[in-house]
Amino acid sequence: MTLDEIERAIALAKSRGLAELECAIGHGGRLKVIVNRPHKAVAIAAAAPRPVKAKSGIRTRYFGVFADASPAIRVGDTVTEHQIVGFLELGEIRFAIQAEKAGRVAAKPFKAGDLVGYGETVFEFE
Amino acid sequence: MFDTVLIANRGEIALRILRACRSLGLKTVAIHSEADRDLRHVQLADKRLCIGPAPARESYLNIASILLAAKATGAGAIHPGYGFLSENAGFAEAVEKAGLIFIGPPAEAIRTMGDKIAAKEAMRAAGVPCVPGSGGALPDEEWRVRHIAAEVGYPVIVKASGGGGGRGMRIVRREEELADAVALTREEASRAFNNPDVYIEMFLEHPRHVEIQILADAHGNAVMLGERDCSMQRRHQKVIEESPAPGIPREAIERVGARCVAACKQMGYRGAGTFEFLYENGEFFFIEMNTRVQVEHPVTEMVTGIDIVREQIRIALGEPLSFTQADIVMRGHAIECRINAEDPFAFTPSPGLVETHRPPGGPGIRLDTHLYDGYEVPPHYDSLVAKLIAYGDTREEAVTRMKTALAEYEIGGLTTNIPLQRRLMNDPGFRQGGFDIHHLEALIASGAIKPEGGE
Repeated sequence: MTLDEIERAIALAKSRGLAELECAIGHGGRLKVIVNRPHKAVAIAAAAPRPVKAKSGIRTRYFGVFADASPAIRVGDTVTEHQIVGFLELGEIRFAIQAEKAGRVAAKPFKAGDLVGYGETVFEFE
Repeated sequence: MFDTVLIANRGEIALRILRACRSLGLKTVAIHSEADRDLRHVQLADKRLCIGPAPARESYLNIASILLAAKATGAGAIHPGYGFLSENAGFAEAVEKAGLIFIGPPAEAIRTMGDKIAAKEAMRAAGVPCVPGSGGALPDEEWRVRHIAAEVGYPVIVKASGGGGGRGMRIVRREEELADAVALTREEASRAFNNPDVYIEMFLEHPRHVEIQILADAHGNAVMLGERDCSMQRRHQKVIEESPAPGIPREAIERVGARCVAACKQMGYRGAGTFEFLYENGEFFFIEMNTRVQVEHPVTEMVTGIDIVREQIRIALGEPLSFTQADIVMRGHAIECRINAEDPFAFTPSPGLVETHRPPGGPGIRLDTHLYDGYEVPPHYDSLVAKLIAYGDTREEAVTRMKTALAEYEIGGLTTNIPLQRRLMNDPGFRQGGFDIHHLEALIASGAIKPEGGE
């Protein structure tokens, strides 16, 4: 193992936020890298996946101007799996928004005419 | 014309474009991927729209989505920035076909410059100096190949027509080695690229990378904004850029610059562009033209006082250049250090959370960055996170200011190449100026810039 490889192992451990990295090297040897950075504890905690709004609901898979289904889905309504719950319109193109699973609508953050981005939750479930 | 610009990019350049739009009273639309909701320009834009998931091909490279997003948000023009779709002739064409304005050159110019052989032909026709060589594929007869090589002058480099990126090439220093080298390269080329054609070019041992910035409007006016020296590179990636290029006579720059301007006029070029050259023994050799704004444009802005991104947009609005060549005066010296989220010595990318961002300041310091406290650098894109620019009356003053700024600059929590840049500011080769494009790689290979101690 060369010095360069050891440095790369250190860099890898650091960039992945690891405190310790151990790997097998030639002739049955082992390399152990211990990253000794006192403030890293904070960094790791902060770098951990942020608490994404884990509410279940219906997310868009494209973007466009939101249009209601007919009849419009309202808060309190129950939707079934695969039900078309609204549309995203872009000029002459119209994408259907389908419920991936059944649920009862607790909130509807967008109204007809709003521009909705990719990955937005258009219906939150209870 | 248009009053709203869609920014089809991310990071520091997206923020730079947003600022230029605002200086012209234009509204902005930020389109972004799912990983980029927290980008600074997304927060600042008049409208924002997430157009797809993190991978660039599903967001920043998705032409159909970008055009639909422009329609949905009422944008009249698209600024592509650098990278991504900025040099995609098909995109420029699609933008125009959709009735929008592409803030950049005509699609035809992008296409010509994207083809290496066509680009060199266009340059030769305009009198821009190119690397001497065989021009096209070498003939089969050995004596004719020998004749061509003797005319070009040794050392020569034998290259596969279908090759690229350093593959399929061989350096020949003496005539005795020529026949074998050509035969070997041919054989490799037919195996690797399915094309046995090879050609010869003069081989430059210690070239510098010097490039000329130009601006051209839609009314037939074109000017050059001087040069940049970008010789500090690692694996063809620029690390430090400066303007002017140390030690090159002004008359030489003006001569080659005038050729570039003539070439722009000849091909009906429009917008900002950069002619890249290798420079050795007092001569310039054209490599390629970049038909977009460059990462390192700020050093030119500092020494000329011209806002290049603002000019790009003004040109797209159909306005004539507001200055002539005679109005452009280069004053002082500017240096840019690229700050990347990567290990400073192993060069591995290191995305992550910016706990604290404490930017440097003071006279002559400019920082182009999208970083802020609590911003998380996503792992999906280029590692460039900031460009630190120092300006001074002299190169020495610019270097001194850069050293102070690098010493001050703190990006807490993120591993960056700032320690490498600090060392390079003290490197005798850099201090002297005029080093070649192999300088940094040689420094790394010699072990001169390894970390001290280590953890």
